[in-house]
Amino acid sequence: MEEEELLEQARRGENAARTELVMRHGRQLFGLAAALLGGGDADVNDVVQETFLAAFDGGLKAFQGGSSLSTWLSGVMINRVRKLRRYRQSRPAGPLDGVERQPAADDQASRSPATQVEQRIDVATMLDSLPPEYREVIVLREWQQMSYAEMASVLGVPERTAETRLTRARRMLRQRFGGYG
Amino acid sequence: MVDCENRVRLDAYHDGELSPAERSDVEAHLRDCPSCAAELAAIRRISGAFADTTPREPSHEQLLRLARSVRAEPSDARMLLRLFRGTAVAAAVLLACALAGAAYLSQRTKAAAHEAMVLDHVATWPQPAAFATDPVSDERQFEQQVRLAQWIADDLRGRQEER
Repeated sequence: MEEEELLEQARRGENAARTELVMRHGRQLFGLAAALLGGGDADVNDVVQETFLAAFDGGLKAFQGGSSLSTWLSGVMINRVRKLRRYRQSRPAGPLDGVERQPAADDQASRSPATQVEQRIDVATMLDSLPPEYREVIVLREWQQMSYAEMASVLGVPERTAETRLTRARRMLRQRFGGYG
Repeated sequence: MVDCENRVRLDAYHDGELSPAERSDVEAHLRDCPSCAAELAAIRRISGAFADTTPREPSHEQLLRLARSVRAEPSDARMLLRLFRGTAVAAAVLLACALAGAAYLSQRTKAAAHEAMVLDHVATWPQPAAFATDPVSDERQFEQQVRLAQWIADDLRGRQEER
């Protein structure tokens, strides 16, 4: 079934459509939220849940079909993450802030587990070192494999701005983590 | 390199964002610019660090929990719930009124019983003759009260003398 139609059904309250959309996009959104937020599962779960609920309640600007549903949902999520980040900045650091990432996923099984964890921590450290707007472009490009046009759409900026941010983000990483550059 | 960076879109080249013509131009430049070639190699290493890992993934149970948490209330259930809530509020109001009424009646009954008991008790007191008369004028009532006081005083004196 077309995703647009599924979303329409989900908005009418049809639970089969809601479940189908969660199973199709929940994994990707969870990964995106975890990469953007860092920290523990509680915030990640909340943000993913809020993203779906916001998409289903129909109050948002409707999905136009100009981009994929996945990209549109990512845009909804980025706004939620930004909101949560502002909230976090307005309160003292909690015990879950900056917690280390979980072990690597199953599809990495061919590599040595120790190496995967090491690399993951390196990548987590790299991400944590970046200001939020640079972290966003790195995650969207490197893990979500978004094109510059999709990044621009998700972030609500011109395409050239997305590209410039990406260039600067990679340059910062090269300067800070010489081992990779 | 510093001279090149503003006009050579190495990141866009690496990310496959350039047109075929632009790609050819960058490739031609890279052949003559070791600095840009080193820069491109560095971009690839950074990108490779991310490609070698994957973002955290939710377990199947987490996904199922997520799916359950965003379920809509069925419209029938929603209507029943609304009906139930309305009925519950009306029942609560009725119950509160009934309890208040019962408490009031109970208080009234107790007060009436108490009053009756006091009146019964008073009825057993010895009535002086002066009290037996029917309603009288204020002057006559005052006179009766004086006579009653006199009667009580005489009675008390008589009892004293008996001792």
